[in-house]
Amino acid sequence: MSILPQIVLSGLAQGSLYALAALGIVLIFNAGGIVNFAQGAMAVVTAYATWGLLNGAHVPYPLAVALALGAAFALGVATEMLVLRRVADAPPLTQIVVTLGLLMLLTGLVGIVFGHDPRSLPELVTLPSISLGSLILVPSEGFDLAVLIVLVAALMLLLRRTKLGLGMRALSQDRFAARLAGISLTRVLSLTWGIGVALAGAAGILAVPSTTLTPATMDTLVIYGFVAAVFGGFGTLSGAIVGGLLLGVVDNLIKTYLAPELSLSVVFALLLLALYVRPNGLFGRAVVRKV
Amino acid sequence: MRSRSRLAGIAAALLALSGVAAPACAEDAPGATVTGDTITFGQYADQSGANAAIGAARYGLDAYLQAANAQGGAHGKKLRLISYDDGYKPAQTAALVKKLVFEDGVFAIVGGVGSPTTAAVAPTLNDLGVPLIGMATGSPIFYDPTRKYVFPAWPLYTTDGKTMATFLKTHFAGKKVGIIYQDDSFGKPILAAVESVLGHVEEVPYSPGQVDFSSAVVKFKAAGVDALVLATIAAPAAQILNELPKFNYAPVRVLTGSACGYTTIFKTVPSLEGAYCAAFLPTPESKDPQWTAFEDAMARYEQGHPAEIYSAWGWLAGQVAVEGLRRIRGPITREAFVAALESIKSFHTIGGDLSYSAQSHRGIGGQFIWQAKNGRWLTVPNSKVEP
Repeated sequence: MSILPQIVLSGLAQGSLYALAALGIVLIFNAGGIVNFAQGAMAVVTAYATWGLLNGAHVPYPLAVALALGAAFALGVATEMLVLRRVADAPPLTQIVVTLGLLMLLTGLVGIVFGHDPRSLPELVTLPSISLGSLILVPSEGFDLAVLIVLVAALMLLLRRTKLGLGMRALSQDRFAARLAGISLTRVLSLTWGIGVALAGAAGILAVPSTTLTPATMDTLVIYGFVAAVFGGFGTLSGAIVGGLLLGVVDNLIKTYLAPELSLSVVFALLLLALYVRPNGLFGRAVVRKV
Repeated sequence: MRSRSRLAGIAAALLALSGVAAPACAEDAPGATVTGDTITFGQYADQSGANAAIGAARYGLDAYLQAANAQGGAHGKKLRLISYDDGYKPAQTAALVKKLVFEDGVFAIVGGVGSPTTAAVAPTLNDLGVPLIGMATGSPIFYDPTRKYVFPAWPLYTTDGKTMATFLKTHFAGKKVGIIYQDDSFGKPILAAVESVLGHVEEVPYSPGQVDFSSAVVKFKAAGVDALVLATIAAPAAQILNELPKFNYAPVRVLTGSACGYTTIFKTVPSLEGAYCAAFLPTPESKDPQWTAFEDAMARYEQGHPAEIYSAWGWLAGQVAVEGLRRIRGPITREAFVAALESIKSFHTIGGDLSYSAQSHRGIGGQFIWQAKNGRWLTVPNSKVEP
């Protein structure tokens, strides 16, 4: 029996984590024009917060997850208010270096506080796997996909039905016009950072049970998140989602049928090829500037 | 003229460091002869990167040197350790070792951690005549050919693979074997050794940093593999083992010692029960007197850092280096140190008996198998395999 359906299914589940990571990156980029390279470290902080609440404070798991996501939101807001706002008018390179600095700082701090021995988080769904002939439905993988769908739906509602969402959309289109329309740039930016980091935190909490928790846990996953964002068309939410899911499947296919040890290299080669054909990604549009 | 000679000096230093120049005279390099009341060793060990768990070797080495100092040190001189965090990045290792040799003036590099990191510095240190002792790696590239100043202590990774394969052949004859291995100087020798015993097996390579192993698990299951060898380090092993039950897949599982040495493994891998591990150190729960001495020293000198396999790697390196020092007769020079190390025969270490000679720097020979039972590791009787 072919293992292809199983490989595609597992790829979609893994891709949902890449999509979540990519969504957070794109959301922050759209609002502030900043690429947050510390996104992975912030996801790791969220996962460690969950671990600490669960094992240190013995908080029930669902509550620990909720509190950790709240902490991730606060971390995002605080990062924007205390760090990024200070360099809002600085050249893009300065802002990139600042987020890279945050990446190093947070990774180092987590290592000092929690050590480097691998830790773990239990699965959020502990139902047994279901066999359908040769196909095995893994509940935790289905849960990853379900979380992506729910969070995307919530995000769409936020963007289309709320004043904050209107502000976020306005900011992504024209900051100057948004300010003229009376939108508080600082407030919208802070909240967007909060949501973006919480999305990365969700990806971290979902990823850890099937891997381990160390300060470096999210390094590769966030690289895939960046690739997904670019593949879909940096700046579009739908592109991040499709890019993430597609990347998960393609990566799994490469590992299974081509060369597992070369999957990341092949993924980047495909990305370059895709950008050669569509320079703005799958869903991106060319930016036209008036001169 | 002056700038030309300075340029020539810089070029010579660069050539020496890159291993291109002819071997430098060991007695001329900084720190080649111990004259003060302290003997300083240098170490590189990941404390912040992807493999920081294995960097705990630093604490084991420090504990051994402190314990040795409490007994008078060596030749009445105190032993001192300078350990740098290389983040498991070979380029960083090369830069830090340069600092250890030329700025800190260490006498020898002891207990450095990792295969790729050691590969970045071993040829250069040998050319400079700076001894490299007891590094935490069993990659064959450090054993063959024998280098005058390089003294590995671990059994070869090929022994790791041979031990796992022999165990499967003896205890699980007829099972279809698969191996997932890290595609580098760590995993490939293990693959070669496994196949030298079992013939061709189902194999899946992976690159360090890979985050999803579901495709490998699906492949092994579809191929009917019922005994799985994991030639991996700690994090990928935990990831793979955690994937297995999700796919209703329960093969015999055999890990390398590099994957099962940390104290939290039984919490990190809930399905570890019944798995096997190739090892050369006593189990942490054993009453082995060598382990007890190590445990006592860790509790005394390294509070907050447990006595575990990874810190024991450093302890082993300390044992070898200090034994070599204590065997020196006359001035403490690097040449005398090398001669003293080569005189070590059947020296009892925490990892078993160790011998060196001028012809062979093989270190410890045999390995055996542990099994996870009731939340702890137990040694499988009669599982020892010699290289």
